[in-house]
Amino acid sequence: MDERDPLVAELDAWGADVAGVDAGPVPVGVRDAVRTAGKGERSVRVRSGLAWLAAAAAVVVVAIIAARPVGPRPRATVVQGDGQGEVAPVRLVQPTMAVLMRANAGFDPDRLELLEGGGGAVGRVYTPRDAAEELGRM
Amino acid sequence: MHMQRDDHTLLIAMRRGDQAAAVALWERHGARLVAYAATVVGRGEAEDAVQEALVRAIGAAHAQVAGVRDVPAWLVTLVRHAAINRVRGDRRRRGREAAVARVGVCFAVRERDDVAARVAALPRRLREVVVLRHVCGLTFAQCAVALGANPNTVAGRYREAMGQLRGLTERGEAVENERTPRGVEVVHG
Repeated sequence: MDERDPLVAELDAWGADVAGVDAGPVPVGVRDAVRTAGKGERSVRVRSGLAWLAAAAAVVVVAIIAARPVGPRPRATVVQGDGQGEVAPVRLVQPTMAVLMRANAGFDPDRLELLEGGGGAVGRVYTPRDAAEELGRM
Repeated sequence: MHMQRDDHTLLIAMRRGDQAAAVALWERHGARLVAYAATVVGRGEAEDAVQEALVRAIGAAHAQVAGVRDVPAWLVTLVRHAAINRVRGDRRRRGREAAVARVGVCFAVRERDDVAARVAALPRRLREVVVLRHVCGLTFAQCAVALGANPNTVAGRYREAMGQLRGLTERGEAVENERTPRGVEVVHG
């Protein structure tokens, strides 16, 4: 359309008038939505930050585990309650003893027999204190 | 192009909770969007339709907003959907006749009432193109994006609208405030 067309000029002038009308303040609904969006954005940033922190912590843990010297591990020494057939790795012997004492009503915590393991007197019956000392020496 | 980037920047900032960006975007496009919405639902509900569209823009998925290349056309699309949904809802609530009576309302300034009345007298599909071109300042390509139509179709509608407007002018059928055609109401801005 020719810009000099009177109808086009008339419409342009009308359009400019209409577009130039003061739209007034931002509608309340829009302001509220913007405010809510801002809160959501901050929440997303916090969550994102926490996720990155967790990921970094996981990387550090994995790195520490990977950096541990890997060598021949001593064979697990087992301690058994008399006649109960319960076994536990040496590192967990004390907590496991406690667990066994709780788990088995008939278990005699004063009579622990070392079935096998480096340096210990296999077949000997230990008290809990004796067992702990023995294991500490291993 | 610079303005487009600015619009996009404002849109992104508004979605991040920047009230100043919302104000800037509203001052830049608010009146035009309300004027366009008024061609579909009438002035009374036009602001509500624009508000609904902007709230939808704020809540839209990030990927959708990031892919917007033409913010004015996209905003018009949202306003159009919101306005048409209101018309449909209105029809359901109050019956078709009542809704149609409200559809011809157009946004006018007092000294150009005759132009507004002639535009308001056009069928909606033609009226939309005229308002998008002359009030919103969109190109045919932008109008096509906003209306979801082919650019050639939009250009054809514009030619048809101009033809009808010329016919109204030549026949002296310009509408005065007191005698509005087909139930058209002229609202002063």
